[in-house]
Amino acid sequence: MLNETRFRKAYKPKLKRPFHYTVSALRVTQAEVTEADSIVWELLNNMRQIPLYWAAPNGYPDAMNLWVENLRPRWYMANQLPMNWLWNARVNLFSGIKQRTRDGVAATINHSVFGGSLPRTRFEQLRSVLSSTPSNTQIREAYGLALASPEF
Amino acid sequence: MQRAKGCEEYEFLSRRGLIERMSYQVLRNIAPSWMPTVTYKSDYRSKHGPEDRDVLISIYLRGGCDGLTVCVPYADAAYYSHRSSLAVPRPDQTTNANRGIDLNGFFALPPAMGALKELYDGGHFLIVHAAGLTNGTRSHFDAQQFMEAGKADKALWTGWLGRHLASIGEMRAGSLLRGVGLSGTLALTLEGGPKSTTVPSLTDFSFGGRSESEAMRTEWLRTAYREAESALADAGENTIKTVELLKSLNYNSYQPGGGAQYNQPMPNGGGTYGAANDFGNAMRAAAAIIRGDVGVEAIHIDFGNWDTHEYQAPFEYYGPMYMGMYSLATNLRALYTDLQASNRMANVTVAIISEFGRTVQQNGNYGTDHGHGNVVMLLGQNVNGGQVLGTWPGLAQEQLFEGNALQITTDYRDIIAEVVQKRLKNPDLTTVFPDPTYTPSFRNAVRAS
Repeated sequence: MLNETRFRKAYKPKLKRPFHYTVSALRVTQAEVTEADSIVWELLNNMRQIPLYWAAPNGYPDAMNLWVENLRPRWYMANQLPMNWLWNARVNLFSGIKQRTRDGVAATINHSVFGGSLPRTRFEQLRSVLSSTPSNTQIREAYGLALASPEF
Repeated sequence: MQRAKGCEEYEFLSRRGLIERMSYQVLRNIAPSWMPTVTYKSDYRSKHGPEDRDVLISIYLRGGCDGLTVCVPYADAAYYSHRSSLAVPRPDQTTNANRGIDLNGFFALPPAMGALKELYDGGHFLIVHAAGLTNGTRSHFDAQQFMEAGKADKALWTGWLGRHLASIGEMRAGSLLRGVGLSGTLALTLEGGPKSTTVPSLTDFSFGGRSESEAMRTEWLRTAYREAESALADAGENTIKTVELLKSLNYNSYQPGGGAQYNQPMPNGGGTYGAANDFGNAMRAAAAIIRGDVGVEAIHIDFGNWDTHEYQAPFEYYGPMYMGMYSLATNLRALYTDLQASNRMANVTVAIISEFGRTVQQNGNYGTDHGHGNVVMLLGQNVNGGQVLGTWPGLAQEQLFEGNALQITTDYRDIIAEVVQKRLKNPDLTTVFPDPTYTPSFRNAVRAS
């Protein structure tokens, strides 16, 4: 079935809708959100998906072309969130790291953010921003890049 | 300035603005030195012909600005009977420091807006009175949505300016950025606009994160997205280029032309702050974007704090109405001077609207409540300024809307539609204002060329 032409023709690249993206990012960073309003108004508004603002009955389209031109607010969230620079959201990145080494941290990010499915080239790219004993800042920034990556 | 004591609904809406300001306090202010910079054009006309369509600056006065103070109908005697302490005195009260500045023998500007008198006299500033949203709602939420959408339809979540951009080709072929919202969140006005984004602050427009590692992270993302599926790869590269484009404006060293000064001190020497100060910063950024000549064709600016239920204070320097009007007038004047110095003002139109006017009768708290008719204002060299346009409906009790507010004799869309067609060169007004019950009626507010 996977080799069927019809199946392959039906393939369309996927981009998470902003709400899905935001919730995913908060979840994989184990973020504690103390005030949801700022998430909605600051982040989701800029990503163009305020909950319940799309006319009934269909909801926001799950179509890549609607969202793909507006990546900057996603990248902004991706880079701010792990630094704890978003208002009313605090992440917990370090408790799951077993080995504070380049490979250990990269593997933890791969596991927690991508479920271990990161392609080899991207994994190597992620490793490249970490030193042999990564600092907290390096770890935060590596998480940010992972959240901003096309695979997330 | 005291913050205007707005109603509960406006306070909720304006929380968005507060959240925006707080969330950006951790950002840095310095553009990386490795960024290339653009050269601000010293003479726009030397490069572009007069056939170019205008860049539009759309300004929304959020909260319901009191149009009866912004443009005072001093010759309508009923005005003074309704407002015992808020009325702007007649211009002929020559010993009264708060007296209005006569415009045409019937209307006057309040002292706080005196900076616009010269532009009015020069024919570049137009006021349309008794204009606004014909739907009778007095809800901020509904009125803002309806006006920004261009139709009284709660299911319409794209804006008239966004649809304008979507229904006309790029002014500059291949432009990376066509619409800019100079606030923390994209206003509905611009929703639906292709290549449109919000720029909370031009001094620190970025992907977030530390400035020290920005170059490294940018290259990381560039590489990652280059290897992605094609639509995503293009979007990633365009996102990076857009950020680089705005950083290339090198805004921190921007020098306004013609000696223009944004956020001028008030007559007592004090400074503006809050929404009034934010507005000056946004106007300065708008000028920089336009002079940077990077292909942006629509800029939207929100200016809040106009919901003056209590202590409207149009004469006190730190009253919300005084400071708001002072900031509006002086910063419009600064923008005009700045852009005119590079011959750029000939292709710029500024349109200013607000959701509804305020009650004709002042209330017991030295304020006014939600009304109906208001003003629409235009600034530009192709505006038929120097006049107060529109049919005056009168302020006598029997002439009022629902017994307490100014009637509307001009649909605000008539003015905007005329700007869209004549100055932005977009004839597709049914897309910009998709309301089958509405047919634009031009009022000769602007010239086509």
